[in-house]
Amino acid sequence: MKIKCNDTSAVKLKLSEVNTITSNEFDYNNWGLLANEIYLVLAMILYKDTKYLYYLIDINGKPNWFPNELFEVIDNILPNQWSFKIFNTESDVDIYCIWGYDELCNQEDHYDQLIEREDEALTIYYNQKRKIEEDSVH
Amino acid sequence: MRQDPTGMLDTGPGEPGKAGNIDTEPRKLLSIKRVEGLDGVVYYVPVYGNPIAPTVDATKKDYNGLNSVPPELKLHNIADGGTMSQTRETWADSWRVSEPISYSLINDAYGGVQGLPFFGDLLKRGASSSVSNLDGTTNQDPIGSFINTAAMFFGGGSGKLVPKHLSVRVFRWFNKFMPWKAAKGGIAPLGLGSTAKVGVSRVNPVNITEELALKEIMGNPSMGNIAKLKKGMTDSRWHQNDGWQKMTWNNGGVEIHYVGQWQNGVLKAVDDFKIIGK
Repeated sequence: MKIKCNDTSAVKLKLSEVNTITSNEFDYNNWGLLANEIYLVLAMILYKDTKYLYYLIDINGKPNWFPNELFEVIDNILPNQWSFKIFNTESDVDIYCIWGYDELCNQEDHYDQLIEREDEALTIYYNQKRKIEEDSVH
Repeated sequence: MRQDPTGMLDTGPGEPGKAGNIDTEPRKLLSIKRVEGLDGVVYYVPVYGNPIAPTVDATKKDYNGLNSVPPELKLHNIADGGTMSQTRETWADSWRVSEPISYSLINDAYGGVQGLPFFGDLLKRGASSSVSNLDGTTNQDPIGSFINTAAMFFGGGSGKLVPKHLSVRVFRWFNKFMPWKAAKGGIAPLGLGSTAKVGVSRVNPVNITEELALKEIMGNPSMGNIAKLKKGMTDSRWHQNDGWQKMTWNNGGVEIHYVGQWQNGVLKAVDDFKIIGK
């Protein structure tokens, strides 16, 4: 699955939905996101408190979750390796569901470890990315 | 008991009215004191109380206070007449011991101190050349030796090999690297601790790009991005029930993590700034 960035500015985002930012002045360009650039999606997430999807992509070697409103989908084929998990029944989890590689859905700590930049989690991420890239070539 | 000649360190529970008593007893962090330095910069200084004795594993080379020292800094060994200079890593290697030791102040310094986490706390710890192991034996205490050195920088050790004006200059220069000073227009970090992890994140910038990015976000912490953890903030120091959120900032490729306390859409407090990187 590939997406193209249409805009890096948060000016058009609804803060009630994209609640990972606190101002419309926010610009994801600070994170290295570039307009018109194409990115490979490693996962999608839906949190319990918003109906907006977030995509997991990496920029400058750092995977991050970005709101889908900034992008358009240019390749909608889902990778064979993806799993899906609904967390809705787990009351202490803030995630509603995840589509993505195995560890994100099925390994308890992987999601947080990726945010915390743990080496092990980053290694898993890039191994999965490599597999998806290889599959997309064949 | 010795005196802190700078008068800028904590008074502790020593003699009333005398600033900067250097006590050999490890004490519990009670509060953070705001001090305006000679250079006009505001520092936050720890104030300690009753003794506590957490245990740290010295075999990990993780003398937390030491890790506050920028790696490029050369530490001058005054005990040798100031002729030798070593990097942080060299010091750590020479300090490495084989068994866990029990001491507290360095650990306190990392966990709860803002402003003068290194020299200030080393000075307060006092200078002993050996430390007691948990099993009752003793080891040569490299920390104590270093404290002697640090104390002498401030004129408070067993010798005064460095003139006071030089001490103050070193003191100012050192604090230039401390990221937790309250940035202009920002909110001073609470100083409830640090979750920086060796090999993953650091509390101190190691270059100008990192320093600028840190100053930028500390000066305007509400512009960060909220990173949603799977189960929210569960650390009791910054619990989600009190409005705490994990926050991140990225500029020029420098990624900074911290925690912010939000109330009704307003950022009320920040803490635990750390730079992602080895």
